[in-house]
Amino acid sequence: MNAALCLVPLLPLVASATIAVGLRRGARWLSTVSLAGSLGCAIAILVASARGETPEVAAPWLAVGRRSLTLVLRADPLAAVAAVLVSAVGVLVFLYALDYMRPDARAPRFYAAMSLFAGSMLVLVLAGDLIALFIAWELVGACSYLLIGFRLEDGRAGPAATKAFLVTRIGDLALLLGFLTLIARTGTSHMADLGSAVPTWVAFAIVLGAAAKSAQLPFQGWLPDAMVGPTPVSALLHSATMVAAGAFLLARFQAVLGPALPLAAWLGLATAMLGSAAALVEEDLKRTLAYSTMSQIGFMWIGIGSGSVLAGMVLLIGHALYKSTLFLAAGAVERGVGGTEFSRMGGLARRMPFTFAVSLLATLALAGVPITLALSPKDRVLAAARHASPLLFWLAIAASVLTAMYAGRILWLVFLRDREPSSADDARGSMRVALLAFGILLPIGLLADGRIVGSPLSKLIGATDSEQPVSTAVALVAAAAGFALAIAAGRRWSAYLIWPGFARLRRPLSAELGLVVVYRTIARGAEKLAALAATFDRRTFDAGGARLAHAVASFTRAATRIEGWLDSAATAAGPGMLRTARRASRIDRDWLEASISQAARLLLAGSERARSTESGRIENYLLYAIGGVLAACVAGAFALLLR
Amino acid sequence: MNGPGLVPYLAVGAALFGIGVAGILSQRSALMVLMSVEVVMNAAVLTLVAFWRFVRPDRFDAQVFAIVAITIGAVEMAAGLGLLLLLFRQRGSVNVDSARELKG
Repeated sequence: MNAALCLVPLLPLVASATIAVGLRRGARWLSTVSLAGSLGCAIAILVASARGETPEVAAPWLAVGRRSLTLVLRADPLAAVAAVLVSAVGVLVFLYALDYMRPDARAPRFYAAMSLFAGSMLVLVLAGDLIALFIAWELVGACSYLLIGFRLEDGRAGPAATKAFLVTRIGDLALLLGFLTLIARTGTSHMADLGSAVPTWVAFAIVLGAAAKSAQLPFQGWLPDAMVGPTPVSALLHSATMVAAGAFLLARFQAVLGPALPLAAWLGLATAMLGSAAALVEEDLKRTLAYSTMSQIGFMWIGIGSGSVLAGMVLLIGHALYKSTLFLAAGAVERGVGGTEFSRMGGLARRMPFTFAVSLLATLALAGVPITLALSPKDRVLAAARHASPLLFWLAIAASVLTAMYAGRILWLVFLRDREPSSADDARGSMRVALLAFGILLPIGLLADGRIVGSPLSKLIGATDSEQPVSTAVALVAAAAGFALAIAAGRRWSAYLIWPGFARLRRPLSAELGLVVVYRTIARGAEKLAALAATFDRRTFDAGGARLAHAVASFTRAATRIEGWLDSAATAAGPGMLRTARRASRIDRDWLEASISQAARLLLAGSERARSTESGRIENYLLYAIGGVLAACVAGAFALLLR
Repeated sequence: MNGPGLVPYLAVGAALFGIGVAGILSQRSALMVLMSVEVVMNAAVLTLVAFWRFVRPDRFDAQVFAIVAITIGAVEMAAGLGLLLLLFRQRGSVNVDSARELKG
């Protein structure tokens, strides 16, 4: 079982390295098959952990003094569930990308980064110690940078990638400080030895780090911009990797976070509200889905923050399934109509019946409608919230009404609204296969919530299930109300499904509350500092130079004057000296001048030769430097020998 | 002590150093020159760590020294890339042959 545990992250990582080194032709198959292998191993591990085993692999990394750091992979039930989820969604997304990325010339680069992305996420979920967790955490961030910026030719890609990287970096710093404190306190980095509680500020640091990764307030700004990446990237980034990493981290540390949990729940609530409101006014399909992710992760945070890891994890699984489905459908629509703006879409239900059917399923699930016998994952979150605080519960209900509304809005704008269908082809080839697989998995997965996975999962994770019929009923009513509102609004204001007054909220909602002010302040500070430095430079160095030149000029004037005196003195000495002078001048001309000019000629020739060493070529200077070092070494060796 | 002894590490270090020097002297792109510089530096760090491991494994100041060296390498890269970016903005290429204003 330990070998399988190693193989889970190793397979995609090796595939990524192979492609990066230069494999081009088979890149897409290699990455898909390797991830499928991981999926197999992950399932084996899940089965083992259901039997009560906890496979663990440890490798010593480095020893410094008395301390030693060990990298650990450890498949406890939570990790096993997450690993299966990551690899399963990953395989389907890769399958989808077979055809989606076919026209792209840089597909191998895409596959290398995607495999690395999946591999590092697998390390993240399986990590049994803080160091391995942090390394994987950073790798996931780096991969998201590579993939968001994948479409270099799009001018928005670079800034979006940089933004995602830098914003999550703020959280990473907090997380690193927290982890280092933990390691310093306990003397070990193994997660099982952390003890029951961590210092309060460390708990807050962990929540902060998770918030940045999950795009929760106040770090939410990077997520909608990250949509410039290819659609499979969005599907993976939004469902099973990157943003899910934050929720997973929170679930992983839930038991020790204590005082920071309410903060997490309320942050989640604020993000859920803001995200669903922004999704109601957005004009781009993919950005709408991004806001939706933000708000769904917010719901996970509400669940985990209210004390129910199970609620968060079930929603994480459900969300991974329906959100990747929605993204893949969005990719098919994008390929069909040539863009992601809502203005290009409408009436696609007839043109793309297959995509429509799958999207309908996913959208209903997103809205919280129980599309199978089972319950929607959101109910558990609501139940947990009800348990924690009534206010949180009612606000979460409000947020889920908004969720159902924007879900209905997406359906309406893309598929249902009465509009001359543009010439759009339905999803084909591997895109169709992947969509179909999700279409089948979705009911199973959501059914699984109640019957197949839900109760075993609670047994696995060891969390209590706080399901309550009241919140289920309320959630149902919320979903129905949201859909009804959305359809009603769609009939009345069919163009954008927003009443005109609400459209004014678009700018404030999409603005990045909070953080942007911080960035601006930092940038302004840096500018001021630079200006100060420039002034200092001008005042001291430039002015100093001017003063020096002035001094030299006055010295020259003084020297001229002295020479004038000497001149006149010489004239006064007069004719008596003339003869002597003539003789002297002959000597001067014949001997002195000749020798001086000879010396000058020699000097000139020498400097001509010396000049050729100043070639201006960097490598020549480097050669001198290296030669000098070598000469010093040889001299040193001689000195040693002679001693 | 199992595994390879000191000499193979030193050999690899020397080889890396040679590769780096060759790169510095022969590459035209400033980026490649910078990367070669990095290879040279890492050769030195490798040698340092090898000596620590086989000569004084009981003390860890060499490890600290190596980490400091790596940090300085990162800083050096940042500065180097900054220069490179400026060079590129000024002349639209990072070919080191085009930057020859220092010719005497």
